[in-house]
Amino acid sequence: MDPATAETLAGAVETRPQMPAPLPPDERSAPLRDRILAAVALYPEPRSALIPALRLAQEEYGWLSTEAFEQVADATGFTPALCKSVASFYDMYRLHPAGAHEICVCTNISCALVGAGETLREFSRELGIEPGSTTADGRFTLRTVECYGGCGWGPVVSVDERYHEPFGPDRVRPLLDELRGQPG
Amino acid sequence: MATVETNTVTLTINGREITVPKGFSVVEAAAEAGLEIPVFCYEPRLGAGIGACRMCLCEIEGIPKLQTACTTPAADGMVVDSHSARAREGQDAVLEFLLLNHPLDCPVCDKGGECPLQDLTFRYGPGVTRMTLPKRTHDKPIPVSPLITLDRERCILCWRCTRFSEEVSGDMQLVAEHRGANSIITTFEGRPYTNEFSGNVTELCPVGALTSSPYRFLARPWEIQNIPTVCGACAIGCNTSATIREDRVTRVLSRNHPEVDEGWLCDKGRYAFGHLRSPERVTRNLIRGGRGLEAVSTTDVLDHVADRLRATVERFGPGSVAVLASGEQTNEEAHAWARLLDEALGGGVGVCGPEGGSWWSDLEPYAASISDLAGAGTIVVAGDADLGHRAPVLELWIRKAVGNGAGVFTVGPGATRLDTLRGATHVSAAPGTAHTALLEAAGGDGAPADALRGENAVLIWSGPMRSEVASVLAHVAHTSGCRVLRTPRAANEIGIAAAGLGTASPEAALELAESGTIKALVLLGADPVGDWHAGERWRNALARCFFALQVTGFQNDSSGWVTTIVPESQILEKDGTLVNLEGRVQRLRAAAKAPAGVSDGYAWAAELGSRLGVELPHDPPAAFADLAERRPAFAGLSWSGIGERAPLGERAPVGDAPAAPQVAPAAVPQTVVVGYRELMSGAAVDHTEALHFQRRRGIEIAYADAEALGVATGDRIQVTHDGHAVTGPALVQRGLRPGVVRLAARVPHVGPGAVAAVPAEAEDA
Amino acid sequence: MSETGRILLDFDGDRRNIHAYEQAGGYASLRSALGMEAADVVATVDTSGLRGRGGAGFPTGRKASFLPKGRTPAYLCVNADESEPGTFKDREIMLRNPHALIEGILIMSYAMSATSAFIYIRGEYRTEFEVLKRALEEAHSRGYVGRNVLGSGYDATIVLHRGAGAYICGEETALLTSLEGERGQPRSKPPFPAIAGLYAAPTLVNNVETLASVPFIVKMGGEAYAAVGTERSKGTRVFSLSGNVKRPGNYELPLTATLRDLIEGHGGGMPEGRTMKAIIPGGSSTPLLMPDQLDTGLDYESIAAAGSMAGSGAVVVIDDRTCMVQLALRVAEFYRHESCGKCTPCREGTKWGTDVVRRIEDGSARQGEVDLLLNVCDRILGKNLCPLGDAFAMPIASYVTHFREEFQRHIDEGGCPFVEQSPIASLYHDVSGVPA
Ligand SMILES: Cc1cc2nc3c(=O)[nH]c(=O)nc-3n(C[C@H](O)[C@H](O)[C@H](O)COP(=O)(O)O)c2cc1C
Ligand code: SF4
Ligand code: FES
Repeated sequence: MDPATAETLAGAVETRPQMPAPLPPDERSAPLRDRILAAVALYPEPRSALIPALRLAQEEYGWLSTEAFEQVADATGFTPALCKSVASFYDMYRLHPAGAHEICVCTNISCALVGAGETLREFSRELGIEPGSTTADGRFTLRTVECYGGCGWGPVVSVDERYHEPFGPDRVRPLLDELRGQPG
Repeated sequence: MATVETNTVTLTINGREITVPKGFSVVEAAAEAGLEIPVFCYEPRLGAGIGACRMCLCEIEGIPKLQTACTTPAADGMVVDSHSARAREGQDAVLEFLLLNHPLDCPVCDKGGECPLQDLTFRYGPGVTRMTLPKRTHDKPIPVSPLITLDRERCILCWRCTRFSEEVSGDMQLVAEHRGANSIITTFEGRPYTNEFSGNVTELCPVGALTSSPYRFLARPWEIQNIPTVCGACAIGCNTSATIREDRVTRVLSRNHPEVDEGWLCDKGRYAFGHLRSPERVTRNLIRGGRGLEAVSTTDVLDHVADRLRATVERFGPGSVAVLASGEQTNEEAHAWARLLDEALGGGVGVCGPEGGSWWSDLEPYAASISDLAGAGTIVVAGDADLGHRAPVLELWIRKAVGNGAGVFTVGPGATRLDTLRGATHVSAAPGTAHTALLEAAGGDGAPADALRGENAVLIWSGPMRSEVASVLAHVAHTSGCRVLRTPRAANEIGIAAAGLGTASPEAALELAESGTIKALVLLGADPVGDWHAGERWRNALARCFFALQVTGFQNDSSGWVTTIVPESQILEKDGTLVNLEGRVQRLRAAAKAPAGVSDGYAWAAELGSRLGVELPHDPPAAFADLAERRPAFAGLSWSGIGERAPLGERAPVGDAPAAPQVAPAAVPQTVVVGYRELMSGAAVDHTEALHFQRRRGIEIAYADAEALGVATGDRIQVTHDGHAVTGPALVQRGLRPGVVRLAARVPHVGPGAVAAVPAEAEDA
Repeated sequence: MSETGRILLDFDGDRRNIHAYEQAGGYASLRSALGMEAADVVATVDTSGLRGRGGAGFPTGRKASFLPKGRTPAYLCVNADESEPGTFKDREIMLRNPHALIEGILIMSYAMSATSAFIYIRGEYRTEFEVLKRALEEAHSRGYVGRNVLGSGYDATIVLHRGAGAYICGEETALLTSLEGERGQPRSKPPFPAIAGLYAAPTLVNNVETLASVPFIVKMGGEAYAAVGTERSKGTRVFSLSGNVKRPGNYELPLTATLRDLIEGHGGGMPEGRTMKAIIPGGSSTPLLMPDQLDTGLDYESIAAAGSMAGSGAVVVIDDRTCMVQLALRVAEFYRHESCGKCTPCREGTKWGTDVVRRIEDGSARQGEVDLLLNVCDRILGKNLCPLGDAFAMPIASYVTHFREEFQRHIDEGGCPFVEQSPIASLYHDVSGVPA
């Protein structure tokens, strides 16, 4: 990393709020349908639960397969077509199977100005894949994303929906080593 | 008056001062004054404007930015200019953007010549495109169903089709996927668009993106003629335009009667014209002789029929002839046959359809109009079947009414599309008992009773009609003051009865035939053996008749038991009048020429009349005048007075209280099998291959029953009922009353039965 | 206001824990608001002069007063979708001071007699969601949320709703459509959300920072809050400073501060050896300001007078190495990617415009395409259903006007002249082997 970038990053760390320890994952024992119905009960109109329901289905299946859409449609009373229409509008739903770990690199202006491109290239080199694809062993998916709201602490990278900031190219290798060491 | 003033606004558009009701948008106000503001996404049938395409950008005094006329409410003193340089620049920019990726393949596009994009580009558009980059490309035209083709390259993403699917028909099958410039119109993973209103999107699409597959490449706008007529596929009588090229119907479009169809058409009405040119159509006169059916000339068959009918009356006395009509005959045809029976055959029996009887006429004093639904406070729909199968477009009226705040009650075994409408209340009733439940609810003091007594309540019966049901409807209407929207099965049941043919019940006619009183049966389009209750008894009755004539478009289950078959002209080939379910007399105009060998139904009956010594008027207009003179229901009406958008006559006065209904308590068996007549049935659909995918396959089974059997949707199950067994894929319905099994059937029925899972191996064997 | 000049974030560390928040006087404003007439609470906010911190800067008290009185249901929707590139302040508020937001929501809900409040938080903010979820549970267990809040008879429901990744859902009407379970496409106004918003009911949509400021306004009194800031821009604002600057981060400053105070004072100025090339003053949708405009005030009016917009308070500093065409391309790509596709000029124009910028950047554009680009921007501008199209057209046009010669050089030289130095180049070129 060039010294100027390092300096910028040091400044960022100073003002950054401390991240809390993550909460344990949501209760997943109830069947998907029941979890969806519980979401429906939160809203004055059942349709509002569609976006949470799609998220629940994605957590269940890993991605939104035909079956996942049919499940959501059945539980909410909408059609699979409508569910997919809604899901495909949003970036966070996966319409194709993804790797076990999803790595997203923010490439919007603030991150780009402080070296997101290098971080991205480093991931690309280490994983041997282009952004937007998944490694042959199905372990990693690499994606670029638009502004993550971590601009002052960039480059921002998220791994399985958890932010890591700032994330210079030097952090790529250790992260991958750690993830490779995990079961899954 | 002050009140008048507060309900209108006066504004200036392009220099013209216009006064319109409050609530109008600027586009509507302009249209009212005959001024054109260009639009793509705005379409009055879909409701208020959404401001998506931006084609209607206008300059409004006092507002710095250009505004969309389709979303701007007209306001007092507003000054709108849609021709100013800035407005023009806005419209030009929008058109340039729309054309960026448009293939400009007008010469090979079905929409060419009648395309809003083409027209508006010509009038408002940019001269040249400055787009030097490759255009967006998509897969070649893809079928979204056997009826509809989608060419995504031509799509301008105006959202009309998806709004229709989501908001008007509520099927939510034709949707947009992805976002921004990547947005596409699609169905779920390539599944066909199966909704009986699907064809409307081809009319809504302002470009050649969604087109009718049967019409593809068939005709160019300058080679065609559009004939205004009405649909005969059900009793709503939607107004249509039949597009004719070289004497053939090539497509059917809506002709928007705002009180009847509001511009919508179901796929049966739109596409079933395919049967007109079916190779299986009966085009020859056939007489059963020693060597089977033999073809004879029209003159010979007329002589033969006149001779046999005369002989019947001579041998068996007056009243020995019965005419069974399917309900698709015109008033004029019915009138001709009624006069033949009365004047030449010494009376006789007329039956109209398998549910025939006087029920619908009995309900006349309470009759609602279709447009009553628009202002209804409450709509109660009772019966065992989905209303969509009986009177499809009514469902769109109801959806719209609900959108405007009407309450809906459904009474029946559940799992109909209306049950799940926002705010609908479902009253569960075992099959065959919806009328009892209705009677009970109306007599009680619960919510349904209040609703029925409330302002502008409309009651609709959705299922086969019987005398017991009719008496309940009359009673409920009389006591609670609601109106009854009648739903006869076929296009002209009310008209045929009013024309004097057919207020007898099929059961009564059958008994007369079995007892030997009736010795000649004339089947006008009817197939009592295949389509009516007690088909086997009808078969025997036909076999025992002295003479049995069938006038039909297609051979069917009755054909083997008649002595004479005469080809029948079809509704799109007829001139005449029909009476729709609200009592509106509408004009049919012969659009297509019947195939060679097929005589016009009315002309043929008149010919027969002259052989039997009854001088019938020579053509339908004269017949109608005769009808108006002789039949009170048509009194005062004139052929020319009907016009292209027929008005509805005066409401009949409500009379004395009807007799109290007698309802027999019905024992409800553990498993009840309901067979209903689906919309996509009947000879016209049977002989239009492209419509078959629209049939609802599957046997509906309640969730609890499916669990008990261990079956899921798609698994094979077998239903036994009245000695018949039907196997098909299960369709598990959470809203269906437990114990109910429901499936499409030619002859509607309700009765005890059993259902079982079919093991996979058993199927293979 | 203390000597730090801060109101909302006037503490170190965080007040995530409800006890810490209460000890610092938290939820006292809720108590006093519940003792006031609802209309008086709105009046206090109105007096404070608080303006929306989400981007449009509309006076908050005035917006609340547009709601038809007594119509139920009515809803408060909290805009926590923070997605405008460069903006990360709401996130910090939610992480460090979640109860200030919750308290603000409760006060505003009470003031407008809301049936329920919905917090629409962008889906990517998972940790922030968890912090808020926990904070809501705490607030519930202490009787601030739920039935009969603090014995006042007022029932408060707050539903935490996660988005799913779409910038446009930060636009208020798109937020409502999305919350209704649809594709997050904006709706044409009128009708405004105050009249027909969520489920067609009267609805108030407010940004996180706006609402989190409300408890302080109730505590200080409207006049005291109004005493901070300029004539028309009152109070303090949290500025998100990022890009090529020594100390990026969020800084809460009174609206009397200038860009120079923020960038040089708090941000420590440019990293060693660099000079400033341009400033994005209010998020990526705002036109550029130039280094000679550093003394511009951060208030809404001063930035507007300087030719840009205060927007979301996101200040991005760009250094001299940066290729402005690449930066324009990044901005263009973003808005093209986020265009919802509902209206024509935005859907087609952002695609066309982006394609042209890309051709210029990679050197394949023909002479004249710089003007074509300006013209495409002009044809988009002011014709869209919502401001997203303008959010593309305005900055792109400003990149071209300020750095026209850079655009022209790309065409003339058949590619990017700054590949070796531009920090963004590695997104578009294989920098080691130039050009990709
Ligand atoms: C394209 C677009 C994106 C927006 N994104 C956000 C956002 O992420 N957060 C936000 O608070 N406001 C955003 N806004 C502004 C909102 O529309 C709205 O003005 C704001 O939420 C009102 O709250 P306020 O008055 O408290 O600022 C956006 C506006 C537009 C046009
Ligand atoms: S297919 Fe036709 S109706 Fe549908 S969005 Fe495209 S242009 Fe409009
Ligand atoms: S017709 Fe007004 S925006 Fe489309």
